[in-house]
Amino acid sequence: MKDLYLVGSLPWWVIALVGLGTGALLVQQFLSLKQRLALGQSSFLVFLRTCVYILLIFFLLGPALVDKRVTKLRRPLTVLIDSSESMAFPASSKATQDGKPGKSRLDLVREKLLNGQEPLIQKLNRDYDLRLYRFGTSVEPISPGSLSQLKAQDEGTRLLELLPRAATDAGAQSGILLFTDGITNGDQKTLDGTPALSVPVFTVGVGETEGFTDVRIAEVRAPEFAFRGREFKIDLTVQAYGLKGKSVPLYFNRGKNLITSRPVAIDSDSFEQKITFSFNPKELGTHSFSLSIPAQPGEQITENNHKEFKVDVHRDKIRVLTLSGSPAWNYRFLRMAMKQDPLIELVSFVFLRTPTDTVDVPDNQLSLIPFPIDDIFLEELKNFDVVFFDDFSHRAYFNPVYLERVKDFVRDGGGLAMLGGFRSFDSGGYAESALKDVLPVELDNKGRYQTQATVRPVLTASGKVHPITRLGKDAAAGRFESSPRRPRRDALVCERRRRGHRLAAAYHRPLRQGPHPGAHDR
Amino acid sequence: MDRRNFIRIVSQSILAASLLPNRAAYSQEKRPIQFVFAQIKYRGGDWNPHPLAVTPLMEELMQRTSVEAATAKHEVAITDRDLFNYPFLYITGKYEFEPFTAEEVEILRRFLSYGGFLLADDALGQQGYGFDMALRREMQKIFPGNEFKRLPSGHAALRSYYLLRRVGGVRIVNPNLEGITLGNVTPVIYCQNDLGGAWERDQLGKWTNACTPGGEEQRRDAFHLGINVILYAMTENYKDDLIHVPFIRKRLTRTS
Repeated sequence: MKDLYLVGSLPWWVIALVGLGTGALLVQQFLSLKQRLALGQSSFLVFLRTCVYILLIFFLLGPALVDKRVTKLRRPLTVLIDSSESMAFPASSKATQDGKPGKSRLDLVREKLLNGQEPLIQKLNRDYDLRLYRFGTSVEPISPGSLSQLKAQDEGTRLLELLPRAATDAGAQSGILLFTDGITNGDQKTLDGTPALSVPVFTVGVGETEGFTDVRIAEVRAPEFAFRGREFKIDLTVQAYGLKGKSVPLYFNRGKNLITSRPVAIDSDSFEQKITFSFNPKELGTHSFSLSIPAQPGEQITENNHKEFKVDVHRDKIRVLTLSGSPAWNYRFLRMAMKQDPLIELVSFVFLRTPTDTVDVPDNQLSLIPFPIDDIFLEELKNFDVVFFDDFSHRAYFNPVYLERVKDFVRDGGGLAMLGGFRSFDSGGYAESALKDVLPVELDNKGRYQTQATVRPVLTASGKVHPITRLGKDAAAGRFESSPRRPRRDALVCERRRRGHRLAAAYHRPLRQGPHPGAHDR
Repeated sequence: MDRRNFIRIVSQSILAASLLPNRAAYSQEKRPIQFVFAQIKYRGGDWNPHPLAVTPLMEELMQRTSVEAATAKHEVAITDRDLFNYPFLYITGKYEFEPFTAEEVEILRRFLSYGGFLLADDALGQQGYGFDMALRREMQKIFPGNEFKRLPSGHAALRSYYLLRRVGGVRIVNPNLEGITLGNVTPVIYCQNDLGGAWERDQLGKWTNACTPGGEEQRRDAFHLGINVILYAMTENYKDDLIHVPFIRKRLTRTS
């Protein structure tokens, strides 16, 4: 549709004056022409001039032609269809004539939207700007054509979390049509406290609660990792429908082993109870836990009676065991360093007295304690990460058989550090012990422990980048930070490094017999 | 056997015995020294009132414990370059000594803050005078605001080897030890009972000073304390570790 508008900016009285002036001029011209020409000719010429003047006045009025095209906009409508697993439940608790369960809740929704001469979905699509979504734990757009293939397979319904988002996305002047059975199991239990929805929501409920029985374990909250020896908690929610007055057992298992169980008394038709279990892990590694409630008579879905989760059990600290052959500055400064590190838990034993030392007081006036050999080597060793043999020889204190346990400990991934001293390496008799297989150096079984030569350990290329020997700025220059100026005179004698081990530091013998090993890494 | 033969045999036996390797000397040669008793030389006063005190203590230390020690003390000035090679320092004296220089104060502060240990021993035994006054004055400069405080009876230094209930020395001026504690450790321990005087023997092996009023038991307490302080310096709060606590508590209960 086109409309003509006069949009000239001249005031109307100016136009009127121009019109009047033009009329007067035409009269004057007609009278003038009539004296010279015939009446017909004069009239024709005045007519032509009149047309020209009218045209000029018309343009003075500012004519504008507006082409109006009207398009009718459809209001947006968001249709949300619940596709969670509960929508696969029968819409009615009553069985069909042949004894089979009736249509599912989703079937009912499909029937409502797709059946009929003019299906509702088509009607809605025609009258509204239709936006069709399925939802469960998330919202996904679907086409009207795919509605017939929609399956109830979402593992939960986060309706209360998703609805505000859908309302925001729907935009102004729109509405939401919601098809759901109303079962939600997201974190949010109510819309209280959330801002009012900006669009109206029309809910179409499907299914019925009468006769529906279900017990489910929902909302299991367990840590992904825990620390050995420290109790952690598992929070869960048990929900039940249609089981009022019953008591169901709840089992808490680790793997197949029952940890504990407790009865849950259901005191209402729509029952919900929060329960907390606690567990103190004693072993490291990944542990599988499960919570389960046996299927109840008449329960239509039993998959939700069981929940599994895994917890990684870590050490909270690096546990270090040190065995020192005697009090020494070695031990003192090692202890200081470890005690200052909050990530290290130190258990140390210092042998303050040897069998040949005599004391002048009864034993009960000494602070010495017996070395718990069996506890350490047979039971507790596996709970440590690193064992230090600090100038310590087993010979005076226990049977070398216990060193087999240390060897196994190292082969299972434990760390072993042997610090020098006359009780270390071969002077400690380790050349013939089980530890010879796990030490990074080969021992010559000559009982030597010390060279009298002045030596200066120098880091090898590996040693400069190894985390143990990369101690500070001087490490880059190939010298130990701890002794930048003083050469060491107490170097231990080891014949050679074991094949397959990296050499971290070496010193040169005065006789130029080649480098000797200092520290190694496998 | 006539008298001449008897004298010859005895003389030969004595000579042979003197040539046999002494067990302690043998182990000294074979085993590296783990502990050196270093004594501070300072200006003024008398830094060495008991020159022979250390050897008996070191012999006792090696006889009673697994520590291999040098029998002779090492004398060291605070400004000596090798001071930090001797983590255990001993300072004693009778009289007031000259104030430490700013450099000495700074060196001792670093030494004690980073793992060094100082045993102070008042050989005069006069509180507020002489060595006691000078030591407190200098320690106040080293650790301002951190004064000597009495060590509690459960302090690790009193349990590091012997379960001590008494503090020995030549005279009991103070029945308790005092110390300066930084965090969990006590790098300075001070005894006012003249421990060195109780440890000292003369060249003939006789005790130089009588211990009063407790006599030889008081001297034994002084040796026990010396050993405990050395082991405390070398093991820090080892005896405060949880594994020791029930044993020590049980023994203290039984013997009390």
